[in-house]
Amino acid sequence: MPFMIGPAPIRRTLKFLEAGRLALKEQIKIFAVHYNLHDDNNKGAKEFVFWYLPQIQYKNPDVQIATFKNLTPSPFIRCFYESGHEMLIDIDNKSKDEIYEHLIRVVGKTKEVLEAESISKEKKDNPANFGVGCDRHCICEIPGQIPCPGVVPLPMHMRGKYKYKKDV
Amino acid sequence: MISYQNLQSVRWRRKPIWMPTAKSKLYRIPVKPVIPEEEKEEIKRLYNNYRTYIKSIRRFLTYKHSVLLMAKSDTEQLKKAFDEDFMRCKEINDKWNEDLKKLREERVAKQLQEEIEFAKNRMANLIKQKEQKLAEAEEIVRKEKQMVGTFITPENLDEVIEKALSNPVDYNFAIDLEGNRIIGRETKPEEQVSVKQ
Repeated sequence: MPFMIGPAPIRRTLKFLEAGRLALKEQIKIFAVHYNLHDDNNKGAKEFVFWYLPQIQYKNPDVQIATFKNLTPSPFIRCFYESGHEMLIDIDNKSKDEIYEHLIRVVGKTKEVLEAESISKEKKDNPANFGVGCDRHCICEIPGQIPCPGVVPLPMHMRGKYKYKKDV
Repeated sequence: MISYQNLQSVRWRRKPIWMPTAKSKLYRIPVKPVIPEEEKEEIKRLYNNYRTYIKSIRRFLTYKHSVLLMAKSDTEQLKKAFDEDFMRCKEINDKWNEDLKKLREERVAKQLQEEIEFAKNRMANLIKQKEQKLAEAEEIVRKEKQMVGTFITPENLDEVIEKALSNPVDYNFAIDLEGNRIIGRETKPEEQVSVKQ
């Protein structure tokens, strides 16, 4: 396979990226990770950045993700909300999976929200739908369908004027 | 794309808008309908009622059939939901942070203790080394002091020269085949020579 170079190139495969479980809440706009590279209590944070950050960015393309290395005494994650709130999460001496699970609980979308979103997305995604907010306004936009009678009159056999005409 | 194969342009029963008034109708003045004042009032009332009904029905149907729209337009409700959710998450997170704070403080205290211990050990080692060096130096000094009596000074210079001249020292030596050292330039290894013969 080409381009499979560098450390852990599996991180760049589509399958891996799509397997991410953390979809950040709608209101979160910036996700900042502060950690150090060398201490033992930063090991989990470092691995978290290495393994899970690509997935998070893939799942949340509209969120800005920033990492700050060697600028903090102890590692932490900070999430900035649209409304000005912020969530400070301490990740000192925690393993990457513990951090990930906690993040899913605290800043991830809840199961109900995710389900509702997937349903509405499916509704909108169905190409057979037409109307407001869909791919097309009217079924007449499909080739082979009857044009709207506002633009082109219906064929004669469909119009009452001719259908019910009494033979004189 | 619409297929234009069977296209039949719309011909509503009217002449095109751009055509002028027909010659026969050019000077015709349409008669305005005369409606009595009371009748007018009544018609207006009825129309107003009708419009109100239709408006209310339309609004009712809009709200009933677009739950999504309703949820989005209700900012108060959204804000409340967000606040509730945020508080819930914050509570979980605060607890997590609290636990971590305890663990971290413990760890940092332990690390500090270890570092202090390490520094103390190092200091003790350094002091020990210094003492050892000092002892070595003292030993040297003590030995030198013992030697002071044998130094050659201007006072006993003649005496020493005299002594040296009277006791000549011969540092020359030879080594025979068995590795014995025979000291002195003039000494002759008589016995060994005889053994060899």
